[in-house]
Amino acid sequence: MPEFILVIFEYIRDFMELGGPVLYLIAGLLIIMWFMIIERIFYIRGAHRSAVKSAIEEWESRTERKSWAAHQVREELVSRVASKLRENLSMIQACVALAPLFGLLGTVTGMIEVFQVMAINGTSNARAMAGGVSRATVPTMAGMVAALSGLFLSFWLQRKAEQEREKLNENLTLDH
Amino acid sequence: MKRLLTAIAITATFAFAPVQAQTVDQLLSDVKSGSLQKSKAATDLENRFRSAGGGKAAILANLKAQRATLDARSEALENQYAANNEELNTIRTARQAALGNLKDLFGAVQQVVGEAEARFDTSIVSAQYPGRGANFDEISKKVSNQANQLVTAGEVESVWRELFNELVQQGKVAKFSASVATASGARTDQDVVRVGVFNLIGDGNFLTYGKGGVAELPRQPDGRYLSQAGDLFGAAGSGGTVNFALDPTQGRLLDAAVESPSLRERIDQGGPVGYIILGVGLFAALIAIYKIVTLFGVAASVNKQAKNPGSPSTKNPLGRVLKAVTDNPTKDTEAMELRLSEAIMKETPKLTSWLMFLKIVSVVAPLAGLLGTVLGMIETFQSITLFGAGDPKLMAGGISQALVTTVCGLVVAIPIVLLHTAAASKAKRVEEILEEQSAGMVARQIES
Repeated sequence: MPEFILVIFEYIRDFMELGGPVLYLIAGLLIIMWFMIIERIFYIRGAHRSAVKSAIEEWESRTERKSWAAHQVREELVSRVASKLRENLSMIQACVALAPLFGLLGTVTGMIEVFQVMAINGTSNARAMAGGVSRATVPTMAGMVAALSGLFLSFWLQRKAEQEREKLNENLTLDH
Repeated sequence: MKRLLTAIAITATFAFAPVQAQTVDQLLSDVKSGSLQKSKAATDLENRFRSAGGGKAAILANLKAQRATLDARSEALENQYAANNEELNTIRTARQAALGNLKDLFGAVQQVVGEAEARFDTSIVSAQYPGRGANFDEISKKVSNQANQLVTAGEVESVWRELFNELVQQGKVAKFSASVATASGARTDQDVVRVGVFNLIGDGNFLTYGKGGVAELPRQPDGRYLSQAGDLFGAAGSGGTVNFALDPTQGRLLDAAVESPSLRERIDQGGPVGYIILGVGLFAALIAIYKIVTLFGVAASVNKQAKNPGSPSTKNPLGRVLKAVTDNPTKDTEAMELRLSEAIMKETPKLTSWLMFLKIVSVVAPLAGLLGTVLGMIETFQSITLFGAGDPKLMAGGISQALVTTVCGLVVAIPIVLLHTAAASKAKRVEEILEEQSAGMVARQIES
């Protein structure tokens, strides 16, 4: 088992060396993004449930639910739950949007490296230029993959937040 | 006084005379009369020679006799030369025969000496042992028959000794004193550490060795290599182990490192567009940090107020909104709602101020980078039309501007997007509390 881990570690290290320093930025972004996504999923599965329950309880314990004041209180309850639900979502979306930009950054810095090699060695040494070229292409791919990996879940989380808000709206009934 | 006056008069005539003759026709007539005078002089000379008459015959006979004796002497010498040459050839052939197998050896020695000489010229070991291989020139002449001497066994052995020394020194880290040319041009005697035949370091910086002796590199490599050099310099001779990044190409990698531009030079390559992007980015970053700090403070105080809506304070937006309603309570819900929304309207612009600017910067920065790219490409194509595409170095200026401005745009846009998102989501959170929850808090208070 440790050997298996070692092989994976070596593979990652080689990949990082191939792609250059920008890959570390992309990796950092990816880790932060997934940390926030997982935190959101756990929140929806756990703390959100109890927040909904306490909101419904508070609503049901009211003596009347038809006056202007009751409407305002209901709106406040829904808004509290919903705003907790939407926390970090815009940050996750920003991360998804930034991943390709990081990839582009890697592309340009890689190209600068290629041109620098050309300035020193001339155009004849394709082998020396290959290092810069791989540093230009690998981060682009990594940025795309990072963006795609977060894109689907960020949409899902957003839809989930809206659904939950609607559900709560329906659960806090006015008719009794 | 009189003499002085005449001197002035003469200079005046000299100064004016050429000016007077300066019409083209006059010049032409001058030239014509001049050539007439010349031919007249030649005729005079001829006449004088003719009139000199006899006595010449005796001189002529004398000279002819002299020529005859010299001719005879020349012939004798030529014969002597031919004889000598023949003798020399026989001797040479005899020597070639006598050398026999040694000829192959001499060829090998000559090749090795040539290679070693070239190598010692650039090898940093020569900095420690100056003057080694000084007799190599002589040996090279002797083995190639240019000097009329045979190379001695001792001399051949000295070549071998020097080569062996180079071999031994390859594996050694040695400290010695040398005269070093510093970057400012001065020469100082200082301790120098040599790492094999690969690197030469002074006190915490890298040195090179060439025709002019030991010199400091005009630009040192990155700080982490310099600190390693410093460690090694300190540890040399103590027998300890330190990490050191050595240049296995014997200086070529270091030269490349010296040629690669520093961060500052890279930024300069971006030109005015790059400076503008970075300047705007810096301004936006400062504003974003200010916004985030203030918004976090506001959000914290609003949260505190939301937990305690009974006693509104004027120091936070929610408190001000609540106070606007509770200060003059009314049973009319419509009037209350109007008052609430009015108070909220007053608060929101303060929360969202500058956020639009940040958003615009985050969008415009990559576009400005693109602008720089296009300007750089225009420059590149201009140099192609002027000089052709043969020399990539001529195009480098435009291309580096194109790439560096793109990098500047991205480097500005990425953090600004993150900062804007953080600030905007915080502002939105507070707005939500004001718009959706403040009415509820008021309603609760009325009920209680």
